[in-house]
Amino acid sequence: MVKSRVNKPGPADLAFNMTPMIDCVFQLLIFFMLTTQMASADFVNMRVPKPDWSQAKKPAEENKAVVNVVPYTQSEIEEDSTRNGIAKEYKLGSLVIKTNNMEKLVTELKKARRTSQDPKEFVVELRADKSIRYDHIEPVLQAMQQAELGRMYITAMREQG
Amino acid sequence: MARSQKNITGDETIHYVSARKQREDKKKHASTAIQPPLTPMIDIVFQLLLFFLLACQFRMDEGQIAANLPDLSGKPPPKTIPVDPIDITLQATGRDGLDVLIQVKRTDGVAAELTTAEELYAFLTQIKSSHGEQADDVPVTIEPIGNVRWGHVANVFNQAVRADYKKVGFKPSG
Repeated sequence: MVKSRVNKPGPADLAFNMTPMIDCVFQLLIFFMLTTQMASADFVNMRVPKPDWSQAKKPAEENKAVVNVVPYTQSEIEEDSTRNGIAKEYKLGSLVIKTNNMEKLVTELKKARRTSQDPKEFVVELRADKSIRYDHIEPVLQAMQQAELGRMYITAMREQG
Repeated sequence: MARSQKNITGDETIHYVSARKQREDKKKHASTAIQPPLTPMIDIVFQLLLFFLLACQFRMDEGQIAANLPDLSGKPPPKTIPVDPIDITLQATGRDGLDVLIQVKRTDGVAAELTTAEELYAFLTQIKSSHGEQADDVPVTIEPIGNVRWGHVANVFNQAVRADYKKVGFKPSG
């Protein structure tokens, strides 16, 4: 005969069932471990252009360098509204290049091309915030031309689905 | 109530063993349950989960549009341009120059003034269909002027690629 726990004298045994929680935690952990890509110096936080019916394709991962045209942050623009649409600096990988030092950008692009896996097929990806004015992008294009690059990629949002 | 039963042999004395005593004896001699210590593992798993939850920042779905750069190597340009090129000029308009006016020029003068990417796409598609087999050779040159926002430039470039032009590039500066 089974004795009723309700009628058992003394304090009740309170047991917290951990098993489903641990199951969920493991599922979440595996999801994050598989999907996380650690922050890369190539991807500065910015709003890249989102064209209508975007033709942007999945990015190539190898034999390329990424030039980021970094905008001022919102708080920096609020401090000084003339910064709106202006490039703060250029970034080639983790290397920060001032906007008035284009010789350095040309030198670094040439160096990146020379040391790449296949210098003939070397491509530079131009990653710029959509609010940046073209006259702050044009010097980067000129630097790419001076570095004797024939092709480039423009970073844009991909079409969903 | 269960009764204890035992076969008595020889000169053994009969002892009464209560049911409770029997249960206690059974418990005492039962094999010990072995369980690995789960607590440190759960601690670590929670630490890892917290780290990933806090450090994870989902990246937007970015892609690349291939483009050509003007050749500055000093090679002479081809003597004859096989087909009438399309020059697209972008000018900033509106408050703070946030809007754009798109002018499509051909050698016979201004061909169209447009304001949206969809209009541009329709126009470019129309020109392309009029070229027949030579359509792939038509060069499209984009010339953004001054303070046009990069978002508009990329959008116009995208429409030219979308209209299936193969030679899309920026006008060489200087």
